[in-house]
Amino acid sequence: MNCEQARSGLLPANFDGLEDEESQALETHLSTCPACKTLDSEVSSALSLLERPAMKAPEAAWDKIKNRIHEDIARKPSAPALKIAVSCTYCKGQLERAESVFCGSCLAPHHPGCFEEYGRCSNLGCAETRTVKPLETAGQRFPMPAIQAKATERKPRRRAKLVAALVLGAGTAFGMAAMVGDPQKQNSVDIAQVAPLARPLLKKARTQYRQVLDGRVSEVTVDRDGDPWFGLSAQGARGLKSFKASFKDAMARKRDGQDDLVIENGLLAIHGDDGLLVAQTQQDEESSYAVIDGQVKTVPLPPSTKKASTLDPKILDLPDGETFLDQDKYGRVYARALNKQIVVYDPWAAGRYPKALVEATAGLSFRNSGQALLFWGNQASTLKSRLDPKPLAKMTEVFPLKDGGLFFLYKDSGKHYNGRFGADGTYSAGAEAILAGKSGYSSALELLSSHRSILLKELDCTKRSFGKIKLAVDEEKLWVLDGGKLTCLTPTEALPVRAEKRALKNNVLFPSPYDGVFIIRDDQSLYHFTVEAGAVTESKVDVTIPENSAVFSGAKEQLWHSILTDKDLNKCNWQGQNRGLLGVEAFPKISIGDTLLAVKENALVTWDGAWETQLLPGVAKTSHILHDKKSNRLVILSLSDDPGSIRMTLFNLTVGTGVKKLAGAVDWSVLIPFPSGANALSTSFVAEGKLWIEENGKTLKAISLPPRTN
Amino acid sequence: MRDTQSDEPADQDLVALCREQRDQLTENFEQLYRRHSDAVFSFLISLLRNREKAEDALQEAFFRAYNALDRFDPERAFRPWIFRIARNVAMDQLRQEKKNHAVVTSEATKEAPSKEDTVSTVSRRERKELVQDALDALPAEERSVLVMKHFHGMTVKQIAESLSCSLRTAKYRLKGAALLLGTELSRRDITSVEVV
Repeated sequence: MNCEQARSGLLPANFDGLEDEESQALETHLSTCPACKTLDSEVSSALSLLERPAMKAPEAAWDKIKNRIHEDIARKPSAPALKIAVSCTYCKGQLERAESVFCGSCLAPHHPGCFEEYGRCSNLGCAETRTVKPLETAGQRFPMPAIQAKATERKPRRRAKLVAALVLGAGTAFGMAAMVGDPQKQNSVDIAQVAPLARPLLKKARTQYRQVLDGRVSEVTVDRDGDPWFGLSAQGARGLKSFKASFKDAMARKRDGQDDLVIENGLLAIHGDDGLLVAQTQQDEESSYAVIDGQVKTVPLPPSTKKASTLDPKILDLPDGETFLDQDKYGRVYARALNKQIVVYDPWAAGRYPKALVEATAGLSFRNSGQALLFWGNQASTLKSRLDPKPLAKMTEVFPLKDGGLFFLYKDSGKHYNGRFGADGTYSAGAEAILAGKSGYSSALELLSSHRSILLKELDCTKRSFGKIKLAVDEEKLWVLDGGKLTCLTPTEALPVRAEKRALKNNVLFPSPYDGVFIIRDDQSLYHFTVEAGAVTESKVDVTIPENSAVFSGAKEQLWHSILTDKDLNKCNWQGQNRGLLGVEAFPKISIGDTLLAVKENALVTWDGAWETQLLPGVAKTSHILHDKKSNRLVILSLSDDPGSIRMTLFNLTVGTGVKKLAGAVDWSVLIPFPSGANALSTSFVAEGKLWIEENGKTLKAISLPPRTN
Repeated sequence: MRDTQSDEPADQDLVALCREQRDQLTENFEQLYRRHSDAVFSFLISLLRNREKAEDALQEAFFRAYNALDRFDPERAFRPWIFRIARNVAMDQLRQEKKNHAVVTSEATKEAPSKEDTVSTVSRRERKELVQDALDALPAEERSVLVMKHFHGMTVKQIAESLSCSLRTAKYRLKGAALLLGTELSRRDITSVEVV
């Protein structure tokens, strides 16, 4: 770096604006060039004159900001109530939210009868046989998954309002002001006496109606921005449709929070500027959908005290294949797409309905805070920050809690944790969050023990079942669930937690033919436990597993373990008099399924429980014992009387019964030429229907095995 | 990165609490304001060189910040974020001023010398004003990065967050701004050797 380059770097260096290499070069140059060093001092001195303006923010500024935010909050209107139809996935018919059941897997809505008739979920590709219901309507203590459907809360209000509106409309038309609230009158609205208007109000709509709909009218929404039209939404066979119909002179306006236009019992009621419009509807002769046909009566209503919203509610036109799920307090609509993702429509974003796709969810739940909680299989998300879903956890299990919250387990970096969504919208994670500081799996076990009648199920964790006894291991302890009673085994020095956990993960928590007996093996030792009526006794068995050894275990008639080292086969039998180690000479050996075969005293033997069975006499220790998996034959290579040949004997094995008997099962016995360069220690194996003999990684011979004869 | 203060909730926690109750203004946001308003105000004065305008910009910045809390990334520090908003507000104002041919003065940062000033102090004061002039002479974009670095001690990473750019770009902009400052300083004979 020369002086010119160095000088140009002096100021940037004061602002960390140089790359590391440049800084180093500059430092080096400054240490050798006094002139540049002086200049650097001047620059630093000049910069030191710059002082941060020590200005305190004016006190009044906060008040102004506060007022502005308050005004802004007050100005923000509440979300419009979009009306969305729900249709039965099976029969495509209209579905009352409160009466519908949802598929336990994909949440497709069904009539209860339809689901029962079909026997399973009728959604394409879903074969779920269980259903779920929203918490408020399920009538069960622990429905899962929990779907807190807002619509189910609104339904009764709406129905009451409809009845009131119809009664009010008809009552006023007949001059019977005292009819409101009279149940008899509510049931006997005589629409025939409603005087018809001069011209059919909705005649034009009828044409479009036929063109658009192939289902039935389920919801009607009124635009109230002064545009004289209203929308009809209908659930057809291929999805929710909507269209406009002209009102011409009749201005129908929607008031916030009211169901302005409803069709029920053959009557259409509209809240208009001039009062309540009551129209007659009738069935079309060709199909089941309703047709509005002009009979309209205007009924004066007292002026509404509610301020009209400045917002413009839109008719949501769900594309084919999307099914309405729910709506949150912000007016966002949640629908399920065919690809099992959740589609979120936000009516407030720039006057349109931008979609946001959320990872597939099995459930949708709204909290008091307005945040939506979505969960599906192994993932939970919140939509707290609007259209910005954040995966919270990879969930392995989800359990609805009594208070409306959710408890779930998730796995991260091989460890199990729990998390909880409270009914108040809070999310908490970690062992301390639930069930007295127990870790995730133990919490799940406790949940299981508490609610086992409903939730008893296998969890994806290190566990084993022994009849009614369930065992599980979490990060700290061994848990035993026996008849609803949970017992904890505190780890001891004799039971190293890590080793135990690792061993269990390696699938060596052994079943036992005896109730309540189980064995845990870690890398060093075997441990023996007895469970009796929930009490667990532990005894470390004094068996040390040598390094580089293999353990064969079984539990057919008796529980046994065989520890095979490069020198010996040691046998452990935990029941009966043979408890302890049995020394066995063990070369060569092979394991076929659960069966260990080894050469002992010039015979091929096997063990079934503690019992030793001689399978084949006269097998030399130098023999090679191989398994032809393709045709399930045992291949024994042994030296023959002819020094230039090897005898290859193939024994047929019986599928599924292990190795019980070999004598008499000979399929072939042939002499094959002794490969040049081979010896008794050469490698041999069977693959692709051939016997391969190798020496030092080089194939000496590949001999096709004769086909199995029976 | 978390903003930690002794015994006080971190900025990110305060933001989270604010988000929880979006339908009402809570004291959590006020706490955020109290924590950062002085620095933001000082930053705005450095950029706008006018106290009144800086006050307006301060209000606008915190108002925008409140409405954008949902977009705040809790994995990052709050200060670079609010600085970014403040910088954007200031840039908007400056652009508007440019349109309206508004005259920008630097009254806020100028102080009259007192009678007690000795000759050397005055000389130092003049020199200080010249350096400040050199800084003020920079375009607002360049000035803002130098101010963030020099006055507010922000790291290059934080400046990168404020500018929504990469670390490398932030360094590049710092270097460019510093070189410009060097030119302005040499024009005012602050440095005996021209730094180019």
